[in-house]
Amino acid sequence: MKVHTIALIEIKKNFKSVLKVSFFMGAFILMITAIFDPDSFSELEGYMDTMPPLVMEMMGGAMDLGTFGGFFTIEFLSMIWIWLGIYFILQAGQDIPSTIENKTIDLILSKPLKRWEFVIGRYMRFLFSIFFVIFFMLMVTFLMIAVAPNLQDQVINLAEFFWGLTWAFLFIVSLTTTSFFFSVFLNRKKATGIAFGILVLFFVIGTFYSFFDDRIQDIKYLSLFFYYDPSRIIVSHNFDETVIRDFLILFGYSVILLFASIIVFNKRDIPV
Amino acid sequence: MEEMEVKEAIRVDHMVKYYRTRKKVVKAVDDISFSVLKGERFGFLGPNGAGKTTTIRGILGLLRGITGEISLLGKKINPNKDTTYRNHIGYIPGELGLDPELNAIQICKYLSKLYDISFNLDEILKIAERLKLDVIRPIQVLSKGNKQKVGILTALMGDFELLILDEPTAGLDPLIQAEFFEILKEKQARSNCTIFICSHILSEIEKNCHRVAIIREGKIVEISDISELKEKGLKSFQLEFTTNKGLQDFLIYLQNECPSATIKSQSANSVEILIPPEKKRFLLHAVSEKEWAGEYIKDFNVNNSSLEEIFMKYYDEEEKNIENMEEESK
Repeated sequence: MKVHTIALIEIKKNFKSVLKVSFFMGAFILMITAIFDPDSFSELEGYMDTMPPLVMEMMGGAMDLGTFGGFFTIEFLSMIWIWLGIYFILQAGQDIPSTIENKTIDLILSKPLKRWEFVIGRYMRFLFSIFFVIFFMLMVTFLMIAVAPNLQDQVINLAEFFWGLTWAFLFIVSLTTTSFFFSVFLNRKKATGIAFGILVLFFVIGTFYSFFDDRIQDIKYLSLFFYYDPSRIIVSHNFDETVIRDFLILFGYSVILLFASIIVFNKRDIPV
Repeated sequence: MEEMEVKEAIRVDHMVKYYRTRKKVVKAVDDISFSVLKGERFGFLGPNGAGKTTTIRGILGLLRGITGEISLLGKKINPNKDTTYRNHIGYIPGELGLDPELNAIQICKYLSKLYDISFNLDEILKIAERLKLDVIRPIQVLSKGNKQKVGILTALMGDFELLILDEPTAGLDPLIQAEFFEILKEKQARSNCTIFICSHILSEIEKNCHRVAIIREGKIVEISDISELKEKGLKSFQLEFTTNKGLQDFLIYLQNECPSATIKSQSANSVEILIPPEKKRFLLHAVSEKEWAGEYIKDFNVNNSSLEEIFMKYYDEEEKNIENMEEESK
């Protein structure tokens, strides 16, 4: 299986970085857990309620700083596009362009390998890396919930954390796929630049759409951020059909963009 | 797939490739046709930008939008769709890129997994030893020449029926170059594989290939046996005179009788002149006349011109044509 061969070599080459990112994220969760204090954060929540709605939207919408789930969502899951998304966007934007620029692609694509096998193989590396980091974060979160003294009197639903992090996984995958798509036909600077620009645009649209003119409210549907709101599961405890719809939209978006990447890459010249 | 004459390892008919940029369209390969026989060592010559690498990359499916027909090892292929034909091809790219973190063995193992056929990796170690390559050191600490040796290993690691080598000796020292061609010839003697060498180092093509194609601005201008090509090329006469006066008299005589002759080099008492092949008899006759041979000429030698001289002739002609066109346009 050549997809497997391509994916495996890329995973091996990048595993140390993925491990470093995982440890960094684990340490971050450790820090969030350590500073969580339900009493003082409840007071902070009262103060936050006096803030303008714009600031509240930037913080992730629904807030419940008095619970670990609420605090974890605000400080970590809502901001995961900063903590993790930017890293994977930069990585994915440089992936295929750097292989073209350092000329290693010639030796690979001159072998009996289909272009789609190459694209999927390279994409699998990101899928694995994101999965690994999120899984590591999930394990650290569960471990903290089990042992951290300040969380022992909290009512915590582990399934909600699991689904919250699964949602984060789908969200990061969709952001990474956006960057990966541009990397199959642009050079690394353009691919990462455009992907980063789109990320900011998505954030602005998905977060502040409610402040836009009523006539352009529907623009919110164009933003991936609109389909990512883990507070609905962890804070509002509301795992309804809209959450499943958003899961499916993020998944479908990634699948469609991956297919588009294959089609575009299959049509292009590999430059010298 | 359509079967064809199996004697041909490569057949290219009317291949065309355009490169399109925002500002212009460049015809990189302009309706070229050639064939390479099975078991042949075929040289593909041309200066930078002539279309050599584009032709190779077109055959290997690295470029899209190629028109024309390509047949490899007896089968008509569509490089944009088919990939199985590449199981039979070992390839060294002109601009070799290798993963810096890996070593030679890891790269060969990795690439071997991308083929559908099995490999004897012991072969790699034997070749590496002959090329004096340390296979354990990662690519990032290797010199340019040693990286090129790794590229050679990747092309020679299997029993490929066709080797496509784009500037294979770039960065190699002369001893290793010689060893490389020795390995190639041994491999060919063993497996009767076909070797397609793309180069602008004319001496190595002259020494190691049976036939050659010369490509200029995307068009093939000559395909021939090396020996035939040299026969067709200018003849080189090296003459040594007893005195300088004899040399000067001879040159005046030559200017009158054979104005197409050109002086390649000259010293006090000797000269090397180039003449068209049809003037060879005339000059032999002239130097054997008593006046020249007995009195002035101490020694003489006739050679075919080198491939380099033949190659340069095509480019001189092209430059002259361009100059003429420029003058006409003025």
